[in-house]
Amino acid sequence: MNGDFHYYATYSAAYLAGYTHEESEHIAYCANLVDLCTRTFLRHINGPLSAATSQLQSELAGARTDIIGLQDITRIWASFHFLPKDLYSKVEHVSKHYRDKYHLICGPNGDLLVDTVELAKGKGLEAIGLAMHVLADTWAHANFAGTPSLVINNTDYNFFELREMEDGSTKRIPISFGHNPVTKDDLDKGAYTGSLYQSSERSIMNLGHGRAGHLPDYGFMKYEYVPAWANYKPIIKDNPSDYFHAFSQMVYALQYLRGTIDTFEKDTYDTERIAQYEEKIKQIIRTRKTNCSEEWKQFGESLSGQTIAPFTLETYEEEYLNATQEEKNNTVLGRFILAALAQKSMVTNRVFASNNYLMGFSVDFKRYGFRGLKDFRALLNQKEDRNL
Amino acid sequence: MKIIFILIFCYICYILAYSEYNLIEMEKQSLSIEEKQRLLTKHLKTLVISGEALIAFGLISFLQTILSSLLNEEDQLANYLDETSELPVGVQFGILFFVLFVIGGIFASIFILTGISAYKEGHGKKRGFIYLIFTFLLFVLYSANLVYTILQPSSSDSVIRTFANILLFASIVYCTFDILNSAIKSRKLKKELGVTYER
Repeated sequence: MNGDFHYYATYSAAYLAGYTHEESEHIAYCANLVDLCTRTFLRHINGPLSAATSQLQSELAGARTDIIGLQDITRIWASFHFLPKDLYSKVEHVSKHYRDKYHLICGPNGDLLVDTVELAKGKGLEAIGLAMHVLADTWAHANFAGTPSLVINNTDYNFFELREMEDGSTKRIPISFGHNPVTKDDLDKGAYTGSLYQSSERSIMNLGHGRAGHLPDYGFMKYEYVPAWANYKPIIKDNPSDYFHAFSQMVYALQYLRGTIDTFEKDTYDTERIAQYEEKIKQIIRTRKTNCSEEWKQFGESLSGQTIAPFTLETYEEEYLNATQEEKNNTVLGRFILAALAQKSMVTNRVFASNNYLMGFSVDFKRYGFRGLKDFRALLNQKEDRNL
Repeated sequence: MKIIFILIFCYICYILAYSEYNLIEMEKQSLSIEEKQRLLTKHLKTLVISGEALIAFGLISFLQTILSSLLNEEDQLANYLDETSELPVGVQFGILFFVLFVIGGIFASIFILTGISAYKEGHGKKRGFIYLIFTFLLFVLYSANLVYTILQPSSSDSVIRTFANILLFASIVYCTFDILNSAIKSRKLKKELGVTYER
């Protein structure tokens, strides 16, 4: 999803779930920060690089694609943007290597989503914002995997937009992809920008939904295509419906995280609470624009009656930079970093436990003591502090 | 060495027969519309890929003919020269190269045009049956070529060259078989599903 949904729509969902204006802004900031917390940003604030939740194109261009590099890439993208739906799904007559990648395919309402939301409970607004980003992306980025893989993420010329015409009929419009990253998407002509076809299985071009361009991130887009993993079966991706489900599920999840509801369950949406705004929300989602920030902002401000500050990445930088080493974990960015480390650690552990090594090894601290990257020691210390 | 080549040939035949058997078994069951749509997509995709392969083979065979004539085959071409002729040797070589060029070009054109037709049919354009006749002729020709190369490898060719030729011929046989199989099945499925040719 784009920043318009991750920031303004998350704000609106948080406000509808009962959070105050300030809390909703805070949650929305952290939700959007997941797309911007790259190693470049972390270096700038002298933060732990293991807490990266995204990668710039320049970082990806220079990334290693050997086993270690691929595990690093997969840890970031599968943990925060392409949360696997089912790590134990059945797929027959395939190699283990293919099955491992198949299991990383993202989708909504998976067991890992429940783990993600429950992990954020009681950890502060930063963790809540991060969890909402992950939740929203499970809907937008469904059917793609957060690991570079041609055999999973590739698409071909069978790509059509299913556009509803004014007379109510549906027109099947062929979509073509160009590969110039500077060119803007032409919504009228059906010309979009996607990543270049690379026959190498592990090429960065085959990461996530790159082969489908930005189409999964456009709320108005309903399209039909044939993913590489689907064995020639076409899939219809109905973004208007999915985005509405994402919004209503966010409202439900936020109520659980706020303590209003005792449990968080899959396939549950709070449509009652948003019933009076349903038409407005659907209208915004269906707006045929690449960026609906203005529309979502107006909606959010109409709910709270207050002005939503535009997203500024540097808002909490000084607080983190000026804090002492002991105080860093109590700053906004410090808590966000801890939430990111916890999320990455949890997802890596679940994937490793399913006998899948695409995200590398996960160490059981209780059994073996601390092993691995020293950045994650902060999680152990955080747990020990809470026990005290 | 002959035994190895025969084994490779048998393995290729086994792969072809197995995949065809699987498809026949699938099609014997009553398939839903979604399954038929999926099979149609698969066959059309096969036409595109095999069509592209056939175009590549056409270009390769043309280059092979020209380059082997220019670089290696001079000794063999010398067998066709008539020393008693009034024409100078250089002119005779020139005529030979030209004839080889034309023949190689015609042969490559058959490959390329057949490949383009398969490619276009894979993209939903209506094609006649003439290109399928050429595909069948290529299939028969290269199957015979393959069998002959396995059973009677040329004494002048090295083992590596013989093996490379076998791989090339086997690939062409597989491609042409794929195109024939997918074209016939896709047309049948299109009729059943009522799909038109215009995208």
